[in-house]
Amino acid sequence: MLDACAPGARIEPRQHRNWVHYNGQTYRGLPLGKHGKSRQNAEIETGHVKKMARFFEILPCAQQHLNL
Amino acid sequence: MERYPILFGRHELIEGNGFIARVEVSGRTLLSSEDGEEYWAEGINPGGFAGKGAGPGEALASFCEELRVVLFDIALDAPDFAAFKTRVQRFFWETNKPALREWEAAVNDVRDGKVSADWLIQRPADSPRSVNVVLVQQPNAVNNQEGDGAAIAVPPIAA
Repeated sequence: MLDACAPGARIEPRQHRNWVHYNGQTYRGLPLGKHGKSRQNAEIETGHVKKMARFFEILPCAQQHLNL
Repeated sequence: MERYPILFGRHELIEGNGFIARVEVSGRTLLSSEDGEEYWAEGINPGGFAGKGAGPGEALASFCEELRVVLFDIALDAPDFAAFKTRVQRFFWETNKPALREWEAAVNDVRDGKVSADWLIQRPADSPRSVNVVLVQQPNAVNNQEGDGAAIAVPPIAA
């Protein structure tokens, strides 16, 4: 979704949460998902993804891609 | 759809790399629920994170915990207090603009009597927002403070 709706976005795993950097802003509250950082492409609850998409002002695009 | 414009205050003690800092936040969050079963508190200042719960109290408690966790993550690779302070200030002033627009509309709903939140104290919507990051050099029990807690923002009284 980020590739399509937020080109250039970068995910930075931190100890407690994933940080997502896009367009000069940083969303610092994305959960790591089940099993923490040990999984690639961990499933993250859609509510958190929706709040992140809203913060980045990409919600309409995200809703199309993720069925939010 | 329920939504409440919230003002909150928190004091957090954070251990950094070679320092201890007290972070004093007076910020804004939008508390909302689409279905009355799941509530979200979205940070406005600071923005870029949110908490959720089965009720308003749970969502606000989750929000406060999420705030602490962000501060922990900021502290992790801040090489010194000055860097930590700068990064916390940047975090605080990254405004969640979509949530802010809803927050301001919610203040108008409070004014128009569409929102009832008698479980919260009231505070003027134009109350100052601030973040203060203090290096703890001389620990003193008098510095232990909880912060102002959560309040609903009400339209300021016209002069």
